[in-house]
Amino acid sequence: MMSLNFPVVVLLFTLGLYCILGKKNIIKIIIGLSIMTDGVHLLLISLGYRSEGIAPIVPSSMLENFSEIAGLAVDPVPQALVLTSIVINVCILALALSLAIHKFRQQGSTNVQDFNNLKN
Amino acid sequence: MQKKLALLMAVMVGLLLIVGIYSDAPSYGAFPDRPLLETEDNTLHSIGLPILEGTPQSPPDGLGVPNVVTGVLWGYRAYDTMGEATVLFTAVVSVSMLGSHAGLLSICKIVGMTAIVKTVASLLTPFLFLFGGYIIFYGHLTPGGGFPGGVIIAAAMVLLLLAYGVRFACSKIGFIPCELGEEIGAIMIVVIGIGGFFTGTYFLQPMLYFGGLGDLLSNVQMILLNIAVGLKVAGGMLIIVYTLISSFGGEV
Repeated sequence: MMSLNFPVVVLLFTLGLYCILGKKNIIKIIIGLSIMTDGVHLLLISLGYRSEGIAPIVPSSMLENFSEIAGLAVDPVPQALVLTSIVINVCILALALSLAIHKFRQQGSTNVQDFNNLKN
Repeated sequence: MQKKLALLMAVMVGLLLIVGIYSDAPSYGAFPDRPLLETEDNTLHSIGLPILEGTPQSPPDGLGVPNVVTGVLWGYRAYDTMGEATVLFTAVVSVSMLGSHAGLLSICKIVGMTAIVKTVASLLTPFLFLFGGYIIFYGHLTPGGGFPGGVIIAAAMVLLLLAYGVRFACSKIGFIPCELGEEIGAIMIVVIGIGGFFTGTYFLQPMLYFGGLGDLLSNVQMILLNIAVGLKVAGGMLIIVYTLISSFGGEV
């Protein structure tokens, strides 16, 4: 069966990029950033997949002979990387939303084209 | 015009991604045959295989934890995870600096919901806290760890906040306990790391082992690190929630 992982990665990344480039509402831009990061996470996780693989955790039935896990489990390294990346993504999201609220209080608008204080 | 340009650019990047993924990246589901690492006998294999074989072994060859992802996170990449915790700390500090929580109790308009929601929330939250604690304590044996467990505990507090109002939530876990939890977590990670120096190993090197593979105390240091990071994440998330609520003028 053909897997949908890579097409979905491309779709998510493209949608997020379009959201960042084409939208003017700053909240929508932040949502686009989040969607784009999700695409990257899905790509990294998919790269470590093994067909019919199990989670990289030694089950209790295999505790005596744990060397079998190397022949069954998926790659743990991208999963650990993505775990880090998700936390960083949450931090970025919170910080971006705070900045958006700060800007909204200052300018009374969420349209990025009104944020032109540097121009004059 | 701008939207068309954005669409064009997004489609072009999408096409480049398709070409890149389907020409260069290893095919889906081909993990062990993915040649990335060259070993001494000139055979190519992925870096994940030696980690999968080595990590569950008892020390000094491996880390002695069944959950290989946690082993990678707090063993091979412990430095990086500490840096990640620092990023969380920086984000929380920046969010609290940009917003203000001074008027959290006076301006916040969340006063709670109906009796149905309050009853369900009061029945659910003890189990949510218990589940969060379980995820933290068993992070090295089962899926989970400090980050998800901390987020679950913060989510339980948000449920209380929405159901009973901000005054009730702040009387249970207010701003100061959150700050304390976050800072105690950060200090705990560094102190545990420095403990490695006194046993003759490296910074954040796992060193406390009691029991075999699969026991709860098989790797005590990872439990302590998970508790530290759980405190840190729960405190940090709650600070972010409180600050964002009061920055919105208390309306949700």
